[in-house]
Amino acid sequence: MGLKQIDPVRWVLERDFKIGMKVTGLIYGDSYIIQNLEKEGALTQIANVACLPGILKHSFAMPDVHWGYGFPIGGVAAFSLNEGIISPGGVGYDISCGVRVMLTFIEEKEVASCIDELTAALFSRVPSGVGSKGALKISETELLSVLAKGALWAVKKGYGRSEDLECIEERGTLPHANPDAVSKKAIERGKPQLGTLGSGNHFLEIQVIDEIYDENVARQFGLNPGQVTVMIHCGSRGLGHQVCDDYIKVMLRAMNKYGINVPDRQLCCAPLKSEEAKQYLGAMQAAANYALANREIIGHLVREVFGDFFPKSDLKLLYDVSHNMAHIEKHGVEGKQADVCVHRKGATRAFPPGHPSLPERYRQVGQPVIIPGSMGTESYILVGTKRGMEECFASTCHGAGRVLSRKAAMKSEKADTILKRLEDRGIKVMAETIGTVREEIPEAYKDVSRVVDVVEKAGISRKVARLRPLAVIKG
Amino acid sequence: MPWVELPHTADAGLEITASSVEDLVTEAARAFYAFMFGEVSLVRSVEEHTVELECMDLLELFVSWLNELLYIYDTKEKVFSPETIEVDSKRARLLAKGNLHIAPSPARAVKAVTYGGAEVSEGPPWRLRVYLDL
Repeated sequence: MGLKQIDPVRWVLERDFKIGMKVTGLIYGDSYIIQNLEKEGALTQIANVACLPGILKHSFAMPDVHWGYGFPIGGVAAFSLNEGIISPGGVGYDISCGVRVMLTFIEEKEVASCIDELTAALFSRVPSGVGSKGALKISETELLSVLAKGALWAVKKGYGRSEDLECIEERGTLPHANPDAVSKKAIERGKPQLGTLGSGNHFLEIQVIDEIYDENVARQFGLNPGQVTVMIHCGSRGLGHQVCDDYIKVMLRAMNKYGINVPDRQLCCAPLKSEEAKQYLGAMQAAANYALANREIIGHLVREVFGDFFPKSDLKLLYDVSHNMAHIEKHGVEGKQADVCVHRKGATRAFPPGHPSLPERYRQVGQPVIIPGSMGTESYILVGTKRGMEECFASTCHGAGRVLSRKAAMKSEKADTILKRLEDRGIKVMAETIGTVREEIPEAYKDVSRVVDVVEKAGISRKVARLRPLAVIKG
Repeated sequence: MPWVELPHTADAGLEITASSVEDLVTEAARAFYAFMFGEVSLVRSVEEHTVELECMDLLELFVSWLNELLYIYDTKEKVFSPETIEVDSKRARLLAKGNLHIAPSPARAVKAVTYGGAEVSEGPPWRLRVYLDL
């Protein structure tokens, strides 16, 4: 009963694992990943998601899967628009948390000569830390405009460039955002935080491309060995957290109304056809627009700092993609193309070559997929594949995935030792709080290279390039 | 100690024990603030404040209570110290009156208090378990 390996990187969680499972679980992993998975509660969470009404194909778990709340982190589930549901717990509190990579035209040796000063300047210019406030002072009316227009708002206000927009998912604006569905409380939390990195696992990193795996795709993406890049990881801050909290209350009441039972209250949901679902989708998209604007503004601040150090240089956006979202997308289900609602919680959308949503420049090769490693380890650029589109609703992993609790990580090493160890490897770290450095030690995460190898072996995305960190800014 | 931190791969849990439902409200707030800030010594009361909640059941009441404290911190950079607490367990209602104080610097970021794995058991002793999204 339970878990059955069907090929070197695929495991099926049988329906007899838990009463009420409507579909099987499909987990991507090698023996190392499955061993870690079996130690914690993620299997039960994969099974719980499989119990939700209208779920299609499988309850998927990417190789960075780990115990979350409601959905596991690394979970993907798609639902029929007619019989299915939408669940705020399947998106998470940090709505549209995501990553962007910006390409410089600078080589490692040029940055190495001023890395301390450059890192300090970025740390000073980009607000970070718990409850950090942005450099932007905006009115409530302006914030409503952010919620409606996303990154486009930032570009129009001079905090970004119009050419960035085509390299942001959904062209930088979620079109069905409904600012009126966002509560006053959420607006109050979001207003002072626009343009801030936040804390926890969010970061800003200066990196260098140290290996190319696919020269053709790398050329199309504009990636070259030795080229310096900047990666930004953050989300919708307190505004997104409040939207999720508000709509969990709405969904708890909707479940009574529609007679839905779920095995974990955090999975509370409403039928996709219901008014409650429509309201949540509008609020969630508005929060996602906030996140897209947030990353565009931070990208603008990064450009300003790099401009001070390298006046002739420029930073071009490779791609910006969320890994906590629910999207209505067209996919093949039972031999037909249909609109479905894909929840990705700690998983990345990965469209294949030829997908109509991709910008012209990437349409021939597929979508750039950004996989951040843990602090002090490599990150990867992948590309979406046809198999990923057909098998798992165009989804792949989103990072390394934790293996060690924060409490255990805090006990393992002193901050000074961690910083020295990373410095010896040529990685400069600046953090708002020492606790974050200790919680985010590289050993708290799985080996990102093994995670990425699994998605490549499974054929659901492909490696294009590896990025090595030079400097890390943590909140 | 009326609370302990529970391990979680990515996040963290709190388990809090108290002799009455009103004490559980107070102890839950203490535990939550201790997790966020470390030691909290309340200085300089700046204004009076009231929290009023009406929920479906006690679990929603406790999760909402802690999320309300997070909202207060996020928007006002204050901690709420309740002086009087009234709980109607059957109707899942809470009325807490007290004062807001300047918050210390936070040691850890909390995004939200979740329902995942959350439980409240009626006592005495009353017990609450919640997991925080970090």
